[in-house]
Amino acid sequence: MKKKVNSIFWTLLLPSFILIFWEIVSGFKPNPFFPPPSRIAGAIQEVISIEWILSSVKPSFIVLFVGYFVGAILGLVIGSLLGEFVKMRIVFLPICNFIRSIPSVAKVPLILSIMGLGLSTRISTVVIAVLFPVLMSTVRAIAATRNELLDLNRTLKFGRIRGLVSIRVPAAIGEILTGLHASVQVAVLAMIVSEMLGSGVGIGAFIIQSQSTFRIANMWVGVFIVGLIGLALNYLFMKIERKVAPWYFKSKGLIA
Amino acid sequence: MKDRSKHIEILNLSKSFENSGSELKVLKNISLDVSSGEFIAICGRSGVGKSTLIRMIAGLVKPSSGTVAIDGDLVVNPPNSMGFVTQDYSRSLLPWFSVEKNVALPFKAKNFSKLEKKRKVEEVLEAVGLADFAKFYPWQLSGGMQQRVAIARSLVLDPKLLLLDEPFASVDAQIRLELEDLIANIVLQKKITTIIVTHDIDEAIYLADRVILISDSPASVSKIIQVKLARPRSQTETRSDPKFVKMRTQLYASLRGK
Ligand SMILES: Nc1ncnc2c1ncn2[C@@H]1O[C@H](COP(=O)(O)OP(=O)(O)O)[C@@H](O)[C@H]1O
Ligand SMILES: [Mg+2]
Repeated sequence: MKKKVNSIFWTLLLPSFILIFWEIVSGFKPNPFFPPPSRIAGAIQEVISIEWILSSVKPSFIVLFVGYFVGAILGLVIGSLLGEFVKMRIVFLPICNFIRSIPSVAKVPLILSIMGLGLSTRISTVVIAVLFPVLMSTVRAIAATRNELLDLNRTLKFGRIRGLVSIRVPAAIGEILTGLHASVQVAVLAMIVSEMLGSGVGIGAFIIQSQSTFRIANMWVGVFIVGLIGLALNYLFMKIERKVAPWYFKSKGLIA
Repeated sequence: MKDRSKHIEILNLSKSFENSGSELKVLKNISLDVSSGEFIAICGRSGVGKSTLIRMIAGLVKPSSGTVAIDGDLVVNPPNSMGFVTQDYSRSLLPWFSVEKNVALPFKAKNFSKLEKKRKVEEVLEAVGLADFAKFYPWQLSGGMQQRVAIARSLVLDPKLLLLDEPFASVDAQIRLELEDLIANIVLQKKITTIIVTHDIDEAIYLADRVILISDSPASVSKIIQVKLARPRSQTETRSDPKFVKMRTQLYASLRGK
């Protein structure tokens, strides 16, 4: 208990210091684009309401979660198959690599022009953003199955699909989770970008609108909320990783 | 044409590897018959090709020429009714499964009743001395215990043939002696034909009915010694038996190149 209180103290030390410093500096030298934290806190009170959450945060959450979930599942399934079937990998991997190399910001106008403005466009942006990195990291993890396990699979006569499902995928779960974890940031980015580029809905749009109407404190509220979502998901993932694959993550400490 | 007394028949087995254009000849014209229930030790320096040989017997590596037959059937894939244990226990166990689930893994591709599976798993865990550790995870166990899990898994389907590739090379000396006795007793009692690969001459003599020494490059059989020591053997008495010491001297002499 004492240890926990101690660690909370050290964790909060630097952020508190930054906030206090920021407050003092903006008192001496006001800058309209860096309102003091007290003003932002005031804006938080003004902005945050049930209605605002339903209209601006909920749509973002739907896009983020549905998009991430669909993208991750597709990436896992396709990645596993490409990991197992080497010929398929040779055919498909270059294209996947190519698509992955195009940043979300560049893909959104393309998706917009094909699918128009709407929820499905924003979800697709996140799906595509998550799908390819997850796919690539899964392929890499499956392809690296250690020889001992490949021998075991052959000795036990499991065949390819059973071997894939009961040996190769679980053996790769540490690397796969690391890929899924890294894709959270990618998903948040894709969500914000898709909202900023013309949808008018969600936190991304809220940030852009606040900025263009000079409600700078509101803009900061949006930015903080995005940061908090990222932080919370990151924390959740660290918990999941240590729960699902303790043998893999136990030795790696709590850095992420 | 099936000769029942010859459980395994290895005929003129050779293996070369292609390594970036150049050919590496590892094994040349190895011939060996193993009868049912016999315990064979294949001995040689590290890098001589022991793993390659036992993996060809296991159907995991394709020979360049020559054949392996088990019960008269040509081996092209891992045969049914074979258990295989390698040196790196930590790499061949599944960390997401408990000890009992690791041991029950071979049942996944077989049709056994739940009750039968449970009984077999309990039986082999008992036999390797891990009855109390069924619910543990491999990474919570010591190296010696992990290797016991791998041994239990190789035995759970009642194999007629057990192949061991330096199974005790990565456990400490004391545990190694215990595991040697464990394996010796189990295969003696169950009459399992066993081939062990080891670079340790003492271990080979202590365990086997016959020691096959392979040497040179490409390697071939350079010496065969029949080990006529009574069973069950004992780590203290057998190893100080004059016959044991004599065989040891002979094998060391041939290993050093006469
Ligand atoms: N898959 C492979 N490809 C190329 N060379 C190999 C392969 N497997 C083994 N070798 C080579 O064959 C030789 C014998 O290896 P191995 O059978 O593992 O020896 P041992 O088990 O006696 O230590 C070594 O020189 C090794 O580098
Ligand atoms: Mg070897």
